[in-house]
Amino acid sequence: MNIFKAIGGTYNEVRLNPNVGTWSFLLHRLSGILLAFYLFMHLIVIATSPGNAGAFDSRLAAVQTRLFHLLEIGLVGVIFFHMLNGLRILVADFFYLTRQHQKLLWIVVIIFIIIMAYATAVMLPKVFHREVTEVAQIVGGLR
Amino acid sequence: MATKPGFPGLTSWLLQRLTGLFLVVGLFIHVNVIHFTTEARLIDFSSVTTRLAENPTGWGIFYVIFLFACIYHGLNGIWAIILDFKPGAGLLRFYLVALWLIGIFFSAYGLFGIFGLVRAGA
Ligand code: HEM
Repeated sequence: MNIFKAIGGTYNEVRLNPNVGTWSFLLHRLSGILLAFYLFMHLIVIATSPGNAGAFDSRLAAVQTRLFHLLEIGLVGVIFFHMLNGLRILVADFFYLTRQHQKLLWIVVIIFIIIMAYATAVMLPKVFHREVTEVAQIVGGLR
Repeated sequence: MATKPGFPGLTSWLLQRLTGLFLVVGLFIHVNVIHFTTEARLIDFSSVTTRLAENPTGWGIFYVIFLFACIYHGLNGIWAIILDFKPGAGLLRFYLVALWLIGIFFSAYGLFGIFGLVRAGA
């Protein structure tokens, strides 16, 4: 197995079967890989120096800039897509609804849109808020 | 079928689904606490340890289970992708060992973080 063959094979899969099931399969796989990669980066950020407030804060401040707050909306989108589509797979597997998988996908899409509308409404203000260092000063001043 | 390393296929298949189900609950809690809050704009050491201190045992148990479920599900998912491409036996064994090492390393790393933060709040 080499990585190029793997990518080529996946490309052929999409090319030869360009239907909803293939796209959701591909998105589930890509979102899963992305989340696994994110998980390990996340652990490095959170679990390094858990006993040292200063080091912890400077590392967390670095990932709470406007850019990262924007990317976080994308992260939440990837999480909820994978979660809802994963639930669709579970429902299809355990309730013998494989033949209904397309209908189930539309339910996934609708719930996804609702959750993301809420997520964007809550998270977008953080993107446009003042720089984190300023907030840190204010929070520090209030303590 | 030739024997293949790792857990038997059906066990991995079922565990992928069971951990997935747990992750639905876990991620809803996690995303809600971290991203869907409007007041606390900045997450820092004191906000994290204060929250953990409200219920150190509960959060501790939650995060340990969440950690293992995430790591198992993520790495078992990658294992499934690898199996999909039918690598040779030698390569398969290499990937299995690599995934286990990554899993053990990040489990230890995560536990270190969880216990450190819970203890810092106590
Ligand atoms: C939110 C709850 C989640 C649910 C319900 C869920 C569900 C699932 C299911 C059912 C599968 C198996 C797909 C199949 O065999 O066809 C799967 C695959 C996978 N999941 Fe998740 N998952 C969740 C969260 C996560 C997280 C947090 C990660 C990252 C750490 C992740 C990474 C993966 C990977 C890498 C795969 C393999 C993809 C593939 O086989 O193509 N999942 N997920």
